[in-house]
Amino acid sequence: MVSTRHEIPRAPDKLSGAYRAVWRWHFYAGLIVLPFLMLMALTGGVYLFRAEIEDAMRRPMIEVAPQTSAASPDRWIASAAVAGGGAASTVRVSDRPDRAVAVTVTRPDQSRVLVFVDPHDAQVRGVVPAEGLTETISKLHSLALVGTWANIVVEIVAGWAMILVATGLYLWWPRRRQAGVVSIRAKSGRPFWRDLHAVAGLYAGGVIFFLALTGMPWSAVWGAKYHQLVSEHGLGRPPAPVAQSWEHAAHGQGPADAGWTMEDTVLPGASHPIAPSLERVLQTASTSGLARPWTISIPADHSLTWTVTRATGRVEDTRLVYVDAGSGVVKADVHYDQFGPGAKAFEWGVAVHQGTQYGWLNRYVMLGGCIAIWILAVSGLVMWWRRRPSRRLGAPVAPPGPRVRAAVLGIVLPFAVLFPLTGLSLIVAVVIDLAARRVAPLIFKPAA
Amino acid sequence: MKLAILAGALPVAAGLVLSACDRAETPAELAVVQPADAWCRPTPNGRDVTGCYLTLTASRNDRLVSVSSPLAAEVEIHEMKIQDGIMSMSKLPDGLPLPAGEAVQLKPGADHLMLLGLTSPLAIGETLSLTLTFEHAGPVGVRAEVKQAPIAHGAH
Repeated sequence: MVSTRHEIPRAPDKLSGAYRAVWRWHFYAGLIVLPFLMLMALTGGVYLFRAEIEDAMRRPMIEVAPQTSAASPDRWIASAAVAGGGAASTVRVSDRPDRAVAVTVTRPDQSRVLVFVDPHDAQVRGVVPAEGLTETISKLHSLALVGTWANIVVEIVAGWAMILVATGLYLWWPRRRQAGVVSIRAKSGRPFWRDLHAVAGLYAGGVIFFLALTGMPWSAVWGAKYHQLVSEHGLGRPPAPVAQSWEHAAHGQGPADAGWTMEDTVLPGASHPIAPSLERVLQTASTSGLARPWTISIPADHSLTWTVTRATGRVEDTRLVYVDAGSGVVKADVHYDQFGPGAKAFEWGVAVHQGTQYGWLNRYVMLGGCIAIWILAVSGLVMWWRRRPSRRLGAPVAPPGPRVRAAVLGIVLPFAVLFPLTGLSLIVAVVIDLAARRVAPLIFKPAA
Repeated sequence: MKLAILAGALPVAAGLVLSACDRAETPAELAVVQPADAWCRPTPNGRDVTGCYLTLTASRNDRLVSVSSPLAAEVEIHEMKIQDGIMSMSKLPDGLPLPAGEAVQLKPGADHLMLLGLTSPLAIGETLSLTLTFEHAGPVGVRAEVKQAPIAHGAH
């Protein structure tokens, strides 16, 4: 398996042409999506600890002395509105008595700031931009920082990540070779990196596949289509209360922390003559048995009801109460149990992807996936570097033939069909591959 | 070696994140008072005294300590009390407390601002500038509209 720099990289002769073809695809797929995967693993790994990072960064302004008494919640939002120079749009109330209330204030120019208020005396403790560092990390993760079009790249990368796992599994499959299968055998050199790559892939491949798959609902084409199918077939949000109907929220006006199923769903029915009151809304939340932490959304449109959600990160805790902020009457009460199977599936996927569903273990398994991506990327790069011939890319060479092509397509095609953007990029890749094979011999001496 | 570098990558990233802490403002920077609905009564018959009213909301516990106007020699912060059935008006010696988040209303028949020694009469439709000084928040300028008192029942 060890080859010197001047040799053409080559799988052992007993390995089939199909093996070499799959290797070739694994190589190219890896090469292309590597930088993106590494970026997503790094940002994702950090984002798993978003709550701790935000807590640590904002400790001086969010830590308050726990007290039994509390000022009226209406004073919280009045203080926040004054300090933020706008109107309160969302309020997050922690389940910890030593944490400030976080109020998002929307200014007249639609910019937003986050204002921390001591719940005990309604005094403002800090004002920060609503788009903090963790939002930037999140936007890097989704490439939204580059532009909304870049979301397409994420979708392609996620599809190719799944292809990498599948082709990687094929390459890992033990073939009575003297190579690491479940543990690293080689001590040094390229075999060590090959073993490391194979073993890390074995243990983390499932997590990486899962992260790629559950990341898909965020994507521009596949994700949008999935959400559309779920809602068209009644597999998503529950029906609206009797004699009423859900309305689609204007941009940025939907309930916060409500999950995706309900995020754009607003309900009219606020009683106009009575001034809305956060105090009344929270009393209603308490008497409805909704435990903290709460996120309250205050729509700019006064005809809409306010919402209180319980956001713990575990899907079965998901609950969303629509309250008439004037009268305090519950207009709708939505539970996770009422969601359709389609909504349940992706809400669960999202919660596990973000590491919040099953406590610390969930988070560290996902972090393990992120670290494994880096190990796989670096070991893959080292392997390639060590055996690459001088002045050539040194891609594995696949012998031509229909059987070889069938082996590759058998692995790759299902993903191309399930994830259209990935399929489209695959067609592009095949065309480039064919063109390269025609053109390359004209430039270089035939490699094999 | 490379593995060690790798293993260090995430904590280093986390450290970078932490070092970019949000700057914590001092309480003084966070203290803001927002005035609303400022108005003054007109001065018919050549009087040089009038009452002004407004609503103040503070972001932190604060106090309105003094008020000035270029059109008045002096502005006093008054409270209205009813003692033994007699309504009396007196200057608030320590100013007007503004608990955080509470809309403190200065209105006819209650706490109000008293403008003394007006340099010119105030007619309906004119505006008058007031500068409010607080214990913590920075000074705030408001323009008060000169108008008749709203009908008591409709007042809010």
